Amino acid sequence: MTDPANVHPVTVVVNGDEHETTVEAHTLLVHFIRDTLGLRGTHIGCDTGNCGACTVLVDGEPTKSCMMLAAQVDGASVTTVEGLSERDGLTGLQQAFNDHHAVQCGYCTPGVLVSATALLEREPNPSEEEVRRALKGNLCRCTGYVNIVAAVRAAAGEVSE
Amino acid sequence: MSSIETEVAPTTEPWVGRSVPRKEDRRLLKGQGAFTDDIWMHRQGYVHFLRSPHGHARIVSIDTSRAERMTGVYATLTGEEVAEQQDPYFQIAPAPGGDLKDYCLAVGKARYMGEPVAAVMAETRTLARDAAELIDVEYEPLPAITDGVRAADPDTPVLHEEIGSNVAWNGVYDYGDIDWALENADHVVRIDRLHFHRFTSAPLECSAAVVSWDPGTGVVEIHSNNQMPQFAAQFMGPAIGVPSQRLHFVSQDIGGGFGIKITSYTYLTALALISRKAGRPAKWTEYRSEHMAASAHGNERTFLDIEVPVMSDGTILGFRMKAFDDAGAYLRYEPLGAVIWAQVVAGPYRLKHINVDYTETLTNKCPCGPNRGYSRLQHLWFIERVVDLVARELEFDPVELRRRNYVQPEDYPYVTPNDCVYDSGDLPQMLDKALALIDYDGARRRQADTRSNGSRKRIGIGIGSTLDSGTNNFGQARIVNPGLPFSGNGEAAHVKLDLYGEVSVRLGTVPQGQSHETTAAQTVADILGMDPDTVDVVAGHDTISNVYVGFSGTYASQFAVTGLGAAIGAAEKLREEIKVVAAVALQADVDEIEIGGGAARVAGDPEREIPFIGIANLVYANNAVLGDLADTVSLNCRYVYRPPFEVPDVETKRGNLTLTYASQVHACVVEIDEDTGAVEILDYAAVDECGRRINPQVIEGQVHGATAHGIGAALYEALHYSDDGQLLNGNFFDYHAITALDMPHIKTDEVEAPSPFSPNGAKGMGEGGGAPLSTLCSAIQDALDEGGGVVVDTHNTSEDVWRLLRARGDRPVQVMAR
Amino acid sequence: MRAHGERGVAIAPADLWRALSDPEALGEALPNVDLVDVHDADRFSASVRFATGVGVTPLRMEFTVSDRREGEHVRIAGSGRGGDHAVELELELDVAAQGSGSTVHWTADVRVLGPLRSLGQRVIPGLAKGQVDAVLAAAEQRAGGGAPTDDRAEAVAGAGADQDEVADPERYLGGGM
Repeated sequence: MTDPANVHPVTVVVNGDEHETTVEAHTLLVHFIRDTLGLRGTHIGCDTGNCGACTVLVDGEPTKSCMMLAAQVDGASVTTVEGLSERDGLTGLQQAFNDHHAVQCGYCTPGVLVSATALLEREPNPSEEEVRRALKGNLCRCTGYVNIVAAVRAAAGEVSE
Repeated sequence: MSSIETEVAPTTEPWVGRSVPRKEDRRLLKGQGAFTDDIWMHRQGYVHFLRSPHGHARIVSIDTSRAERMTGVYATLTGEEVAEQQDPYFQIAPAPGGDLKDYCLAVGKARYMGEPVAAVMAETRTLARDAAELIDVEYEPLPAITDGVRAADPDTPVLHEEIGSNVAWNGVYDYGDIDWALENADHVVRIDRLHFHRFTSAPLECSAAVVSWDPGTGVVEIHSNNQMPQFAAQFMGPAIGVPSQRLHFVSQDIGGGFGIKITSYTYLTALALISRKAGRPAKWTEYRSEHMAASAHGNERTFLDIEVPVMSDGTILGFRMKAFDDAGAYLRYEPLGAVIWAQVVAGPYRLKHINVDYTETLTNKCPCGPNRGYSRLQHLWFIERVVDLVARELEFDPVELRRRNYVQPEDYPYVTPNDCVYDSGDLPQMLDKALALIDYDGARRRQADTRSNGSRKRIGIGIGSTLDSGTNNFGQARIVNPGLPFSGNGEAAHVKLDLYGEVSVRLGTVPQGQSHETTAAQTVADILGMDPDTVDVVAGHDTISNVYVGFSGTYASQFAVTGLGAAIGAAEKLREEIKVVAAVALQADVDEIEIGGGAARVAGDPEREIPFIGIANLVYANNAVLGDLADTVSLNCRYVYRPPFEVPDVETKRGNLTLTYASQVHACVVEIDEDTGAVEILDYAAVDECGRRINPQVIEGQVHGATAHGIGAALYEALHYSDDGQLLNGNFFDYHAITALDMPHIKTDEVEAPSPFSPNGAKGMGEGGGAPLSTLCSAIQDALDEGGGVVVDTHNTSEDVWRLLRARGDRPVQVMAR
Repeated sequence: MRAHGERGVAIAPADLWRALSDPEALGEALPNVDLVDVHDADRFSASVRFATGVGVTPLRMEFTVSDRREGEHVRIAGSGRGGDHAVELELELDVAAQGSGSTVHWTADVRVLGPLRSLGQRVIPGLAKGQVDAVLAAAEQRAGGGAPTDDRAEAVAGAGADQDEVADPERYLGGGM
């Protein structure tokens, strides 16, 4: 059915696991992650790349996976929310979100965690302004961001101790 | 400022009242939530809707043949088929408004841009989209009407011929004696027009469903994120001829609802029909641009010819005005909004003489849904704006004027002009706290400084007071339509011991982030003497569990009362059963039995104890030992909480319309740039009161979220239509949903005034009351010159503020000469 | 919204006008077009692939050529639908001699309906300019003309009756539109 010219080989490491497969040209990275790999934690919230619910790390950089084609991650390493923590545990950041009630409906949470993880890796002790700026691409309709900012700063405080 | 920390405390203290960490968090933090797009069914087909590009058009013909010829397309569905397979949805409005015909796809006419006209089911999501492009629709464009006030005129294009006009409902609410008040007041303030704009809470997760009409059993399996499934069932069932028990609704995690996911039953119906036609489950997930154009919008309301009688001592006697509420192209949840605002007829004030001429109109725009704060937000903003403008025009101190007119702490329970009862509160104390948080006196000094030093920046200080009426009496629907068989309210819960004595709770609610699993666990834990960690609350909603009533769902600020009220009732029933079984097992009197730590024991005799696992064993697997008691005890306790309501008086439009009244008072300091009109929030405080606080951290989170929605709507978020009915900003690129960078830090404080009417003293508070809308209008107004621009709209962009700074000439507010 | 422009073309006015008034020639000249069907001397239909930031939207459009004034003026109207979108446009072209070639002054009135309206309002003026330029270039090629001359096109979006808010469109006219 599919024109061979529209199929591309992709070798990509996702959350530490290597996948060697083919993808159709038009397949978005977020659909590859959700539908092909079955990693449902990454979410879709808009059609214009504005909401950040689909944020993953591509080679360590926070990236909106709805704005990339799956074919573009050939040779790259991708981390989704499922790859942030060990199988049964929570990272310090995730625990801080629980402590500070930074989760309500949970739909924005995976994208926020990924963006915040990337922030704390490049800036271990961010100010409130820096946290808000780093998260401005992640929309949340439930929390008003107050507790999210508090949780990220608390996690930073613990990491830098 | 309240600092909320999660606590680890000894089990002798009640769990209710503590900030217990959320049970929901673990799966959501690990990306293990089950949201509706995550649901797959074997053999499913993906559905895409073809939608009208026109705001108003006759559908001349639809040809699906090209789409059907495409390989991988399973089925199509058009309005013509729908009209044969579905009866029009039941309408809340009486004739003539209720005569309109509403189907799940456009039939004969498209009445708003984005209205679904046809559906395609195909093997993949992208194939369905491509196939939809091959459906040929011929439209005859018609003139559109988008002005919600003008729509009431008889000479405008009519949306629904069955009604004959665009007026869906009209009624006059008259309390006290407004004519006497206007005659005898020392001053009358006239305001030409106030306007509450159209916006949406826009949940981050769009609507979605997987619907499967099983040909063998006739059961329609509906996995969706609809937030009020029983309301949906009551509309869908009669429409497609499926009895209630065969509409199986299931949901687990929902990415926000805010009232926008209540009227999605139209899409669920279309999915059911195409599923039946194709013989496959129908999977559908809305795109954001579809959500913005065609899910639901918040109500836009225009207030005209406003007259406010005021005495010289500052007592505001009431008001008279005409309200025009724009429902969009179909009614659906409307015109319930035409009465629901009356729950807060006088707002937080002791106004006595109120006259409102209320009209519900239809326009060529997306149909409205009960968006967060439904119908009360609009009215509460109106009242607060009036109070703010009266202060300004008559030169009263805005703080003192509010204090004077507030319902006072000693007035509760306070009976309002239409016989609603405000249960409890302390508005003056809340106002004091809000002003303290923003250092009101310091802010006034800063303002005076900037005025005198020639700065191009202006300081504005704003106050916004509001109520959040919760747990409504659905009998108020009869005020809109006396023929409706609705009254009261309720919610169901089921608490049980399972086979090994495990405590399990199931609720009839449908949470979208409101922490029901956690607060229900706290509530049940206190009654059964346990730790919330050992109280299992089933995630999500499933009608097969039979734990629901007609009002079930999560909406309208009521869970803390109705949901937890049901959990309390069910847990208390279970506690009694456990005691009765324990009494037999321990050969003691029931009165001697106490429960705690997962066991029942004889008071004062710790040796005589039986753990819950033993209780469960006797009932489930060992009933010969239990004997006759096994006939009356099941350890499965279902309870329906019913608030104490009566049917309101339809003739006089009076009655107790809501059980509880939470309140919020906000204050803020803004800095406005004279050259650009840009508004920066320097300081923002929110003080809330919601009765007994079940989980302080959860409550504060709701206050934050409601504040964000309010600030977003006030400064950034507005839905714009062109005159020909085109939605101009229907995506997140153009609709500026408030971001972390836009939001200021929110300082909070609280007052606790337990409700005398609810089973646990708590009040529903999730909607919030929209205080930021008033607070920011008030702050912007405060920064403008005397005799200059008047803030009359809920939405004020930097361009609007820039114009207000320079407004001269005719003012829309006058004080009538005496 | 409205757009207008002026462009020099290296062929004589009469030749250019003929190319612009002939449905068959226009059908060939329109870029990004499939399935051209000429109905008669005045009308043709085409499936046009408008390239926008959200992807390619194919629209099946009916075009009518009218208001012909030999060698001077022609009007081309088009309307079409594709999926959730619809487009209506009116293009007025005035041709005058300039040196050995011509100048074309054109105005376009474009109405976009559907979800594309919000994203479209920023790119429509540029899209319109691009389409018109391509038609003129193709007409030039067809008539054997040389390289296109000075391009002084401006695209201005007028508010008109639809009261859309559009900022300065010059900012959105980039290369490669």
